[in-house]
Amino acid sequence: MGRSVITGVGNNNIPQPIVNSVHEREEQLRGSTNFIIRDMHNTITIAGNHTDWFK
Amino acid sequence: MKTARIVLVVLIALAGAALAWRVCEGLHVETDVLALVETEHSGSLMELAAGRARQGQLLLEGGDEEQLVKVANVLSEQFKLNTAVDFQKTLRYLAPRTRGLVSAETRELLRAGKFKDVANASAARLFGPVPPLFSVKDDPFLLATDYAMSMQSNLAPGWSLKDGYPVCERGDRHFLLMQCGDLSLEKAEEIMQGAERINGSFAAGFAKIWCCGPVFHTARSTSSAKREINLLSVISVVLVALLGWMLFSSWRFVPQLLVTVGVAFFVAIGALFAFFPCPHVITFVFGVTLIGLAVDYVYHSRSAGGAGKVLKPLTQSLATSLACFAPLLFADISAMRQMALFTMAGLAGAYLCALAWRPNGGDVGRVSRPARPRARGTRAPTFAIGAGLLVIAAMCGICRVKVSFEPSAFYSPGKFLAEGEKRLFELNPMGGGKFACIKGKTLQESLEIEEAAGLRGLSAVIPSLRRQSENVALVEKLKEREGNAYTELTGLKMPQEDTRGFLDVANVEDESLKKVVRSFSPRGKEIVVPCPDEFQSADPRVVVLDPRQAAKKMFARLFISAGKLFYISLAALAVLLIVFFRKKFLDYMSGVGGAVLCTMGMLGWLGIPLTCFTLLCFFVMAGLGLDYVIFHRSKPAPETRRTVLYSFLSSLAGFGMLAFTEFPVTRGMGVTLAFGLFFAYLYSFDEFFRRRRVTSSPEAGKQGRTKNSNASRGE
Repeated sequence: MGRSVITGVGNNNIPQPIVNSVHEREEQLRGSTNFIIRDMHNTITIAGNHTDWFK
Repeated sequence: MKTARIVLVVLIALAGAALAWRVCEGLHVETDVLALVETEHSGSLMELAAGRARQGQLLLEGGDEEQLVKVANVLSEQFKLNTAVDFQKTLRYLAPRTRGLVSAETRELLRAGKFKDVANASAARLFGPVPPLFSVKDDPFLLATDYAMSMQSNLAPGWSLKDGYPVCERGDRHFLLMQCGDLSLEKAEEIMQGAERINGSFAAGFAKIWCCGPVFHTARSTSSAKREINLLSVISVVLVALLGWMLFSSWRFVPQLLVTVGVAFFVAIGALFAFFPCPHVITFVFGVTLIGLAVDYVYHSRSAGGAGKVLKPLTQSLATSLACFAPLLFADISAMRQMALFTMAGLAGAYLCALAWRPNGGDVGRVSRPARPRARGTRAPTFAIGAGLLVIAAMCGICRVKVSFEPSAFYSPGKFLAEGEKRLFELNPMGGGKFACIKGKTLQESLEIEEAAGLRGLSAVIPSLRRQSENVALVEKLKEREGNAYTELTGLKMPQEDTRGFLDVANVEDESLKKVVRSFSPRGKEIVVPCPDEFQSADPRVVVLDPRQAAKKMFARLFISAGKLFYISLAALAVLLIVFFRKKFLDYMSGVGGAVLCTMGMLGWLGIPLTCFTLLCFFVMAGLGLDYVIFHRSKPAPETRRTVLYSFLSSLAGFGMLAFTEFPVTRGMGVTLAFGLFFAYLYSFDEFFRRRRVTSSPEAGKQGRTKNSNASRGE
């Protein structure tokens, strides 16, 4: 299930990174206030305006 | 008769005063079945039932999850259900309140000192497929994101959210659950009809819809009961009226019958409310038997040409019926005391009304004669042999009688609802059907008790403020231990000051979260959580409830109490019959005993279990059945026989109709009363006990009676 990928806390199956740096993540999210990501089972929506999340 | 009229007026005035007094205070009737008997946790069980009364779930089943979501959206729109969780809105509401929110898994790791593992997982999340859901300025370890992800499955344990709906997968079948709170019975019935239509149509190939939860059962039972009551009452009234017309060849008996029944119910209701501020609805259901008893009094007084002419048997009939119900007045169960008081007061009202009624009309004292009176001197051995064989055959069924306290004996859902419940039960990881009722002084305290008991209910979604403070301390330790390394790895800074607040369960404003809180705590203080079968708690504030077992215990207690009181009733009846009939009392008593045994036997043959409700019918059966014997023997003439026959047929038309209802309780009561009255009527014949002449003239009747009394004296 999606959740086992996301909350890899405590197990050794930590998912492979899809971005290499926090800067890359910030760039990915820039300009989107309703960034929707679908994994296998879940629909995730970003809470609020994230433009200043990393500043 | 004048005295009867004065007493009746006083009774009616008292009943009116009692009713007026209660109406001023507001009339209340208890409708909860669980209120019938006070058990150890009946208060908590009633609260649990009240909280869940309007809740229901729609379970969608299909091969394609996308398809299920589309069907769910269509249903939501069509029935205005608003069942989907708007997770985006919830996340926005949570954003400034995530300071103390940590998932249960992460909390355990932090408590175990596995800070490195948490930091690694946080980094993986930061760079992994799902980006942070909240600002990382205050929460560089993305612990709030982790909490929000875990909250999804905590909203519906064992399930995950898809487009706002809890979904799960079993083999190649997908399931989607729509939680409907506060459904009206009308809407629930509308939804059920829609679901059944869809399931029976072409669309069933894509998705099947199942309805589960108390509200759907109540809606289906209510609509079915309304349909049955309307139909069966019309049939009963028509049959009773026709039978009266056949007996008197006139409709003039109708006013007397209506007034007597009306007075009986008025006095009964007045007496009930005078002593019980909130009587149980079952008392009124049981009280319908008053009609049968009132019909007896009217028929006999009218056919004799006035109550004065049958005063003795009428009084004996009243006294024996009162003796039958009186022991119930001393029951330790309030509902039984209520039934006894209701019936006894109503009986007194009907008796006094029959005495007070000034007989008039052409039909008074003129019972229509049978078309072909029996030939003088006909012996009745054939009747005795036939009836004897029937009685023996019926009694043989006693070895097949089963006693049941199982709730399924009192209610069995239709196929559609049963299928839905079965599926939901199989998909529900908590499965066992037990609940823990947590009783704190405030909701916050209840939350703390739930956390201390190790249960995952409301606290798994919204932790207590105390736990949130503990979480803040654990996160501080994490920052202290792993902060520098984490900053180096990710480039995120550790915040100097956390500006976020706590999430307080008592002041939740988000609609989705409010729904979650209401589903766990309908009354605002206590929390009700499904718990595993093996769960136990030493804390007295945590009460483990097993509704099924509690219902079984309650029905068992009701049965045992009714059984004991029935023995006392029979003993009281025997004493009274000895007073009235001396040596001949056995003729009367054996009729009641025989009818009871035969009815039990018939229940055995028909596979109808003996329950507390069918057992209560035996009190009515004994009271009514004895009336047949008393009147038959008071004046052994064809007119009396005919009146008793029509009185029996009217009661059968009234109670026997219950046997055609769908509800197992009323069906069982209908069958019990129908057979009980039939055998009581059969036993009321003299021919049943001895061979004697059946005559058509009063003189011969007198002769026969003399013979009888001689025979009973052993002459």
